[in-house]
Amino acid sequence: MDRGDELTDMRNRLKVLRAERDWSQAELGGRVGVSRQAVNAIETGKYDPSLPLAFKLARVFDMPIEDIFDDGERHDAA
Amino acid sequence: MESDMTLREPGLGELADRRRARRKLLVFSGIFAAGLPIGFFAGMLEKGGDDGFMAGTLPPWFAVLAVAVFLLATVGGGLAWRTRMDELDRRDHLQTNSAAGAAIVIGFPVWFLLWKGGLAPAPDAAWLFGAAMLAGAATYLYLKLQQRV
Repeated sequence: MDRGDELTDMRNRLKVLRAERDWSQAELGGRVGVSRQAVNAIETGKYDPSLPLAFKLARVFDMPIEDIFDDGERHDAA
Repeated sequence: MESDMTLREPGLGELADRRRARRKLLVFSGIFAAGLPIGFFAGMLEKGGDDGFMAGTLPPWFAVLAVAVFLLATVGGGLAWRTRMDELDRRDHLQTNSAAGAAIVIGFPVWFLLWKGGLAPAPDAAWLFGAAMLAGAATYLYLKLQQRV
């Protein structure tokens, strides 16, 4: 349900992508300019990143934003 | 939450994260170091404060100096802090300040009406300030605890 704020049911693959590269939360945070706590909050769904931060994360992992974040609303065409 | 207790060399991101944390600590220490002498010398220079907390007076020169140091620390330090915080910190501080402001905006009319009704003493600025600080601290603590769970 879209409530017009940051409390959407956003899911993300940050933890998996980070583990694949053997990066700590601090390592990822340092690469995109946020704290380890911010990375943890995003991974656990306590905080949805801003669009600029989402783009930075996408660039760091070299993949499209929608391959990292999923708002549960996307329906692939059959 | 996960532990970063590993024996490997820190990566570039981890080094950047440590630098950010050090810069934040430096700014926080600066703000604290500016505020500490104000409280210390205010206690030393206060005259006639035997009737209660903050009941005495301060020399005018010290009051002006203390205001200058306080404004420099809060405004200057706040701006310096803002450049070093990330977007999660910024959101948390915004909500903290909103809660502190709400404590005054809601607290004063409530207290004022109770005073007019003869149910409470006249509103007191120091208590309202304390309530704002308390509301802000409680909100910040709640946000940080929520992020740790």
